[in-house]
Amino acid sequence: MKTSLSLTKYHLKLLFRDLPSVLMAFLMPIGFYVLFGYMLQDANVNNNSLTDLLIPLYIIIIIGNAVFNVFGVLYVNAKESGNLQKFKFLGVSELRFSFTLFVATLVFQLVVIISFILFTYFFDGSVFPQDKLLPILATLCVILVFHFAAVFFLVSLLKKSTAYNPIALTLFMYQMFLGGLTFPLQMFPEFLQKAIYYINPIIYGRDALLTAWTGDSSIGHVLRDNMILLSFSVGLVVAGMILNRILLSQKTAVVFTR
Amino acid sequence: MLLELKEVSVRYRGAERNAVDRVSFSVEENQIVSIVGHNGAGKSTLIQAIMQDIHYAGQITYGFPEKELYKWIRVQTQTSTFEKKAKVKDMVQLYIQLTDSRETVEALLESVQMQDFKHAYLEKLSGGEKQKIAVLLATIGSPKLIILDELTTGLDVVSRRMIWDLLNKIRRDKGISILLTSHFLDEVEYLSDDVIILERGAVKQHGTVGELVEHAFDRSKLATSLTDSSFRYADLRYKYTKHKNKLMIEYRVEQERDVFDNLQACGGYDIRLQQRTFEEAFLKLIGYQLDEKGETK
Repeated sequence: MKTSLSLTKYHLKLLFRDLPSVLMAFLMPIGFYVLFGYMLQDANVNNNSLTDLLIPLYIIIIIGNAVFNVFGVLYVNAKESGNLQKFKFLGVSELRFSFTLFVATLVFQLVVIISFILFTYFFDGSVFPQDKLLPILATLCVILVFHFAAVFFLVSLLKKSTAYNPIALTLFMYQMFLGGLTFPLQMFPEFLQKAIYYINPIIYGRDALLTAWTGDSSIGHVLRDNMILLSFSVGLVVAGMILNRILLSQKTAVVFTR
Repeated sequence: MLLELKEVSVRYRGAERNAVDRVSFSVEENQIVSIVGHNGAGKSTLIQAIMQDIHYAGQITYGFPEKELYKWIRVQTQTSTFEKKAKVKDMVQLYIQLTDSRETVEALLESVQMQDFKHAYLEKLSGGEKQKIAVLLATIGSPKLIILDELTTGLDVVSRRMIWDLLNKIRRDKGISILLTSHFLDEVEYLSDDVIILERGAVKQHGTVGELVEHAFDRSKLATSLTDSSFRYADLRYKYTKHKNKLMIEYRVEQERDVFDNLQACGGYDIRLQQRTFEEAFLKLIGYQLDEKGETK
């Protein structure tokens, strides 16, 4: 416990010292909110003001950014640079290392999400729907799990930061712009509105969170959409584990006896 | 005995030969043992085996329960990378916490005269300063053995000397044994009690620096003398080689007085009687030299 706490505090310290990451994490959702909020101020989706819907959507972006571009990048870098082995030789397992990095990233996300919600409150008086806290938190957890599963799969496949970093960024952008997170799905061509449910699973997280946030069941179904997203997560984790096993068996040293 | 390897072998899947081939040696308390070898000789694989990080054949035993391996043995590599944005005090503090040590950041930094760097970012330190911190980190929690894998590679001469002094100080003050891998022969000669020369995964030679030199040159020494046109070669009683005006004679220890007198009598000047160096012995025993990057030349 003491080891995990020390490592988590250490990761947190480093996370908040990395100015470009901090700025991107804090300013990106705020910038998007101001920009798209202004552009789409008169737009409505399912009788909900679109500006109100931007807040949950950008929370998903915050989570995606933290997991793909902070946790994933730090994890791959630690693996590649030998830092993971350095800690292993100090008695810190890879699992414990990644768990503490995960917790630190989680705290980082929470700080950014709370700051973003406070910003929107002071910026245009948007109020967090406290009465729907439970389904919102449950959905956010599922979205978080999905992102970690996606990163786990990516890391199983891509061991070098030179490969991971651009691909993770591309996937993050793909998810953000083609997952209905920056502007409404209704603005997409009709065929894409249907195809997106097959090519971008985060859409289920989006629907679940918007439904939980607004209480509007015409957007989606909290339990069903969360279960679908969880199924994708399980699939990614299983695929990642299979990949890990295949790649590990190719590299493991075997003993030669004469 | 702190560490003992018996007939340790490792082969990677798909490889045609063993990366480590039936290696045996031991490390005693308060001893510095060096493993010398070219790149790919198996030094790093051997360290992985010692740290139980790889499958191996043979036997590795420790002078403590194996489950306490990470407590009593520390490893630092030449690529002692530190996390981006980590400060010296953060790293030292983290190691203190992870190893359950009672030492303080201030006392530890003072022990290596690095107090002024307490708030410095590790990435901003020079190569020598970084490695000094790396060595310091390896000693936190009072391990019994530290393994330093090519720690001084890429450092300038002054920084390397600084690290050597630090290693000697650690051994003297804390009684910690050190297992060093290196391809700097002067470093090995200066620091080591025992040397293992590894070639293609196998132990080619093993002994103290003195033993290896003796083995290579059979207690012979080298006399050099400068000569000019008045030098009387007819009176010289020893077999010699000559390079420009420098004359060299290989002789046995008991002949030393006579060699000196003979050279002087013949008119030689700037006469030097030298011990053979480890580098010369390495060249004679192994048949090649190592460059700064560990490649053979």
